Amino acid sequence: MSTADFAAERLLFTPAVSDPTAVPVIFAFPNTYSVGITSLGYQIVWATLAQRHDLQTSRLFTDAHESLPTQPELVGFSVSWELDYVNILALLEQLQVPLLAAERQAAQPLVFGGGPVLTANPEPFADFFDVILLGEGETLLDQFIDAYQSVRTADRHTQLVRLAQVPGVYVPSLYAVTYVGSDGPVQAIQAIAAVPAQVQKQTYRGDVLSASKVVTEKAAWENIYMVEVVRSCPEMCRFCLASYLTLPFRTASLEGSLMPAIERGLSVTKRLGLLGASVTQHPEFDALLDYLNRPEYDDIRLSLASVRTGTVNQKLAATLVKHDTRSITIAVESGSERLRRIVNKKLQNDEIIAAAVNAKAGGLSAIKLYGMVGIPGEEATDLDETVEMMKTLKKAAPGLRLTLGCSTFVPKAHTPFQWFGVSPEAEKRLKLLQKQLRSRGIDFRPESYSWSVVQALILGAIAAYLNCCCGCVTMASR
Amino acid sequence: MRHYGESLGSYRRAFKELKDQLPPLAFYVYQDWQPQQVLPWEHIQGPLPKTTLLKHLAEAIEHFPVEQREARSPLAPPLAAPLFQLK
Ligand code: SF4
Repeated sequence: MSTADFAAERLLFTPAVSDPTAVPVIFAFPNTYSVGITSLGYQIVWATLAQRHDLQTSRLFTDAHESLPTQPELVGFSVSWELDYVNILALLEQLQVPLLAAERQAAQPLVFGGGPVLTANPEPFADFFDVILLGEGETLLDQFIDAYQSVRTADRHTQLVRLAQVPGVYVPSLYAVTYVGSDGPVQAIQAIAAVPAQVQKQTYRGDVLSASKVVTEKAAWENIYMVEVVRSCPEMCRFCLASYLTLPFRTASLEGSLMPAIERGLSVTKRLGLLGASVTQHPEFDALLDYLNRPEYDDIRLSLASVRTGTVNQKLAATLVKHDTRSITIAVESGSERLRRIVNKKLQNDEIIAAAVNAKAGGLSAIKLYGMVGIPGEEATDLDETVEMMKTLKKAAPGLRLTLGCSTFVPKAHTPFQWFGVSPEAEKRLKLLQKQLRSRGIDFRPESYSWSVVQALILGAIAAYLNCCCGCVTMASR
Repeated sequence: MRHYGESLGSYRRAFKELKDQLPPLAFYVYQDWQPQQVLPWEHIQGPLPKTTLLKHLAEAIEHFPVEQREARSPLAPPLAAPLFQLK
């Protein structure tokens, strides 16, 4: 894209006029403009920075940037996908900032990062960041900038030690990780300066959740306005990062947060996305549907993230159809009720059937189910039950387009399954499902198995990876 | 250990060379960990205490097939002496 495309943006906030002494900041998304600007997290952080008089913030994407300062003091990254880290390194190189935090000198910027990937498990990225912001940005970001302002002219070490006092700010270089042997797991992690032994996180307790700060036709979902309906998920499926990492479950107040946000957004666009791990779990979700079904909103296009299976009723289906959405996504994990008990998914097969029947009755033309293979405790017979479930669904809701998307279980930090490994059977089982389902005319979309393994290596419970990969990278700096 | 420069190209090279080491890495991907194992995010406070996560884990394992319960349970006593001493 060309830089002129920033002109297509409609802002829903007013950027501040920077003071003459403002801190020059670059805030980057390590992917294209179109992907980055569609990230609500990126939008929120950018808007927070841009609303401060004491900062002069420019944005940077892999294919676009605003006019960049020659001597930035802070360079930030919003990371929402593990594999984007290659792009982080490329952007740092483009900015001529040393890739390793340990090699940056006094005159060079502090590099900070945040987002779900870093919050879950920052260690694989620790060598590249001076500062990692963990958890929710609401109060953390301003406290981080305020703290930086108070040590702006201090030496780097003093700056880092001060910043690390803010709960939620993690300074990797102030913690030492030791390993067992040369390629063994982590032995110990210890603070090596006057900083907290365990990095605390802040939890936002307000009932106003976030909404888009910018709407643009260049977004990956053209002109979408995003509203966060809930944060976290009360279901606590044992593998689920979206639930466990961001607990407790919080909901946006319908009158105080959702309605005014939606009204604001729909004054500039006709496309609305309701975001959250489990939007239909909002206690007033039904009232929200009533609100969206008002005649003045007849021409809006509504998109939902995946919904809880038990909440797919005809009203929801009809509301979606009325607003230009033809399909719905539910996560069922497996056709085996025993496996669902293992993962704590409180869901019966007849509820899945009811969801498909309701989807069809409400006028939807497709339903996409999400499942997983390699769930700890899985047996070959569990797959038969998944095949059986799909066959039953096909009969129960004839004409409804059925898709089963399927991933491989990968352990995630801070979940009860963080101690489990990836199943070596998983690849074989994906193939088996594919054979069984496709021969019955059911659309089966497996997620790449090797991608899952890479994911496990980067994000998952793989202590040794660090020692090995980042170990040799660190060696380079000595 | 080889000496790498600090350009992106050299990182790519470094990672490429690491491919040769994939077998040992792959081993860790499939491995279950004991709860006493220090995890790479041990120094980061999560929303729930470890004891709660272990309780949820134990509830999950109750539904495992009997023969897998011992073999895959991180909660079962390790069969051999641990490879390393925990803090
Ligand atoms: S219902 Fe979905 S979002 Fe909620 S915990 Fe389970 S998998 Fe996660």
